[in-house]
Amino acid sequence: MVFEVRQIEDDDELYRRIPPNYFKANGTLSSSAYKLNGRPDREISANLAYLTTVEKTLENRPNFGVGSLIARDPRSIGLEVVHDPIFPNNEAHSLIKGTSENAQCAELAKKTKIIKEPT
Amino acid sequence: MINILEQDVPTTASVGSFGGAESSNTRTDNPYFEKKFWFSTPFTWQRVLDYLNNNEFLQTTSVNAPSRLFLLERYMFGWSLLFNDLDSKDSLSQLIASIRGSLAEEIPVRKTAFTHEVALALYERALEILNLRDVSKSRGLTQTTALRKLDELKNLPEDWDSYGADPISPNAIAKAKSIIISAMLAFGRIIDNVVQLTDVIPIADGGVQLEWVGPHAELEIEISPNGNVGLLYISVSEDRRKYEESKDNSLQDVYTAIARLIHSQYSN
Repeated sequence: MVFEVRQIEDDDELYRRIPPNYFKANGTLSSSAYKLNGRPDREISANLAYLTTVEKTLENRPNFGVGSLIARDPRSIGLEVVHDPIFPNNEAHSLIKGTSENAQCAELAKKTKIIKEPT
Repeated sequence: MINILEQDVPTTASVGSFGGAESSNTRTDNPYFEKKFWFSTPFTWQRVLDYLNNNEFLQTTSVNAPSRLFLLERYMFGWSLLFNDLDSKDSLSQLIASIRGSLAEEIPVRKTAFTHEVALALYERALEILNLRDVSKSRGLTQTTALRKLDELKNLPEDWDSYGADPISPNAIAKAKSIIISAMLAFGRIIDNVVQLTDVIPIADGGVQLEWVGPHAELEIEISPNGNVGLLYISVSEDRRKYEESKDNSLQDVYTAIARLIHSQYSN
């Protein structure tokens, strides 16, 4: 059995789990929130919001924060947003694909709305 | 401040040059007259740009003697900031009176009044007054806080981001400290009033990122574990953000980017 792969609409919301160190003192996010090992993460994991909750997104990382992106935002800078469910653990899992420049990471960070601060 | 001034800064590059030819034609041996005249000289950003574009000293010494350029840029940005910040002729008059009174006590008055020492002292004093007037402008980290945060990054363990991050490299921390200290020395209080260091962020590969924000631009300085410096300059306008990225930058490139960040207050 597998999960149905859904079409992500431009208005769909995505949750991104973010380590505490990437929250800046002025209440915004660092572009590092969208990097892997210091380089733009070519496949950024996120959760499709209507298939999950903030709590589930933080599973096993309760001290992390959560940011929200609207699918339109990564798409507006040339990135792909696809549903990529992981059976059986995470039906909401999705990917923002194609990030290759620090500028794209900075733009994603700018457009991310923080919905849960780290603890 | 004084250490910078003790370097060989030729008088041809004095701030008074902004005022145009009339500045030198009307000089006298009376230092108070010169100070007064200097303050009453109309100051516009266009004059600064003209000065930057046409001054031979700036064109020829930016590589060999960067500290001179930074000192001069500091004057120029500082004065332009100052004059744009004053909201009325009254406040300008008060400022001039206050600074002139202060100078009489703080600076040995010499017949060669149009020196960098006097110019920088005037500028520092003026910024001090503005700081007192509007302390709330500052919203960035102080140098002390930034250095403390950098020291704290040494304690991050392996896998601090839970995705396999490396511990932060001592090289990156040392380079970041050097950039912060030297930038704050070079640009003085402008750093606090116009441009803020908003945070010091660890990078998962063991590097460090410094993030600066100006009035209409942002700057990310990424320092790799081996100390290489990458810059991401972001010009911000009402409807768009423009990104410029460069790798393997020198300390002078960093200064230039910060200077550009300060300039950004005139871009909108």
